[in-house]
Amino acid sequence: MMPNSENILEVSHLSKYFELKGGLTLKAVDDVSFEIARGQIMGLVGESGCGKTTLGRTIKHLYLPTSGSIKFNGVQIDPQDKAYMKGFARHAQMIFQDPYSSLDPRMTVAEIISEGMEIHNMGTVLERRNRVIELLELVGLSQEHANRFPSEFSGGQRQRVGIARALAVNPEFIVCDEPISALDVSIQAQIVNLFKELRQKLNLTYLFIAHDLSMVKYISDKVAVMYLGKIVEISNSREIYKNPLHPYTEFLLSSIPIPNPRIEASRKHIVAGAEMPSPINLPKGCSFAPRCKYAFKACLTDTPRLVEIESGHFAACSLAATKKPPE
Amino acid sequence: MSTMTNNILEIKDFTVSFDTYAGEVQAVRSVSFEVARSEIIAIVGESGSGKSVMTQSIVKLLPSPPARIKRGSVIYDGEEISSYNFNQLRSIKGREIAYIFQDPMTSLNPTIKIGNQITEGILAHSKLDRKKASEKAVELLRNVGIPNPQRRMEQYPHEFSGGMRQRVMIAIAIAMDPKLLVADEPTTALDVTTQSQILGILKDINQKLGMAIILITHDMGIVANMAQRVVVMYGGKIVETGGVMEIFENAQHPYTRSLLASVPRLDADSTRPLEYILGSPPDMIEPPAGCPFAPRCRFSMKICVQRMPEMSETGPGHRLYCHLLDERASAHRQRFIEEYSDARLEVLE
Repeated sequence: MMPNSENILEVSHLSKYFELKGGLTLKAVDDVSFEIARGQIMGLVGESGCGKTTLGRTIKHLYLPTSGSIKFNGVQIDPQDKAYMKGFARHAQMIFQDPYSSLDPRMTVAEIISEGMEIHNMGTVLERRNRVIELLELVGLSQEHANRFPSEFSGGQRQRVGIARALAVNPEFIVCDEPISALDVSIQAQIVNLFKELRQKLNLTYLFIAHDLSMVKYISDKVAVMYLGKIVEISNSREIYKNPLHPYTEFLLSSIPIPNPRIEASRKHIVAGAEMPSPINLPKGCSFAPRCKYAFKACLTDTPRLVEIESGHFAACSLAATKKPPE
Repeated sequence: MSTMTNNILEIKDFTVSFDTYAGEVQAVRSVSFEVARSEIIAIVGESGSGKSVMTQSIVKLLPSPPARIKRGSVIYDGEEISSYNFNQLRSIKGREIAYIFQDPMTSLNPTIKIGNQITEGILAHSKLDRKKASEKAVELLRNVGIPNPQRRMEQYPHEFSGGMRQRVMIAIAIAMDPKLLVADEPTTALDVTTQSQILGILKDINQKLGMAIILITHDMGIVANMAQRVVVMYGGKIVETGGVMEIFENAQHPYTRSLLASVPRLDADSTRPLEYILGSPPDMIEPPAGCPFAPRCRFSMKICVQRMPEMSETGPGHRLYCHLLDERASAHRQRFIEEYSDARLEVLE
């Protein structure tokens, strides 16, 4: 793979539909487009069921896309091209949410970490052995952990093993699917620091999926907000938190309690009507409209497209689009 | 319950252990605190710090063996209940002190209709007949914001979303108008948006019904949003307790400080690494003789590992256990104060 293009990942019009019984279709990911620049961390947030995990898995090609295309390092990914896919599987890695179920309980840590290297024929047995030790130290564990089993580790340590496994094959890009949600607060801080440090050291690019918006803000350069299969807003992270353009983003941000009692005492949390509708057979129009306090007539009929409203700041909202300065 | 004291609950020297094959796990070690009538008090601490064991042992919810309440007194509404047996506690459990837990899926029985799960408690604790109880259940569901309560009564838990299930749990918990509600991480399994609704309901109940709430959480944002007072637990002990402003702006215990500093905030500087606590929590089979936090504390002294510090009171209601407050430790304390002087929570623009 030639690391020449500026964008490591370019996703355009990507969709992933699941066919259900009775001819129903679940549009888990629906016409999503974005790109991630090399060395960038893109955060992906949204409520459970919005399709963020499906999007991450479709990019990694654990699910085959229903339609749309993904370019990796400027090259269009062709799932039929076996040789290319094997290379892609190495360069794009994944870290999972649950550090308990994502490690094989009957393999030692050394076996878990070196399995990928064996599959991709990387190094000799001895070299792999040394690499395991090097990786363990890189993620803050040590040589003595190599021959232990996952059950002997705490949640935070297991997540470190998961990270070492992903790093073993020298990836360029990692999909991190809620890698810290299952951990204690102070452990979360350690793991997030580790992610940032590794990005620096190894020039990695992450898609960081999470529902903790404060953590996403802290770690990401760019943030995409997802709602019912679509990206509704995308911008650099400082901008999106300071100036949310989509009412859904505003609602999400307002729901986070801020760890400062003075602010909380006077803060009004926005209450959105009802719950997230089912992603099966979505109504016409903007899918957030039934919960949106600003919704007007057009919202119920027109599906808003993701448009650039301010420089580098995209939102899919009919109301926000009217604020767009005339060109 | 006759004598009107100011506190709905007073716990003194409360100690709970688990007898296991590996030895005695000393989960809760001599904790004392009180809950005032109609206040919301938050208990914070890492997993394994003893928060849940302590609150569940108040009415002996944990199976014994292995759980064993070793000593201590529990005064509920002026009455000593620590010596109550199972039958005596039945009049308190559910009716006076109610619980809601983290996972609303495992707390509800998947094979019983929601309506029957709510009326079960009402029928057991009151003299209402089935019809009246059912009407009350509908009313409760409406109060916790569940649309179409009549229809919902006939449904099973799997037909409810996580947020809706937690609302059902709240409805069940408040059915008998308890004076104290223990909410054990009630929103950890939920989305932020649902969380904010559930917290709103709890606040509403607290204000309308004057129900005191013990809120167990590890989210400092929730603490700031909900609590009037905070209890910080570590290694089976309470290390600091005080009013919510005191804790957030003037915490004196190094553990509380590092807990606050490890929370990412929307206004945080993302170029600075998040602070975290090195090492891992103590082994509760052989808990340290001194301060449980000493092995991980950046300011620890020789005395810290040897002896548990005495309680100090630094302000009204602000109590903590830390050797740094001893006058002989003033040099160490100075270092502590300096290091955290810039870590105070700045106000959002």
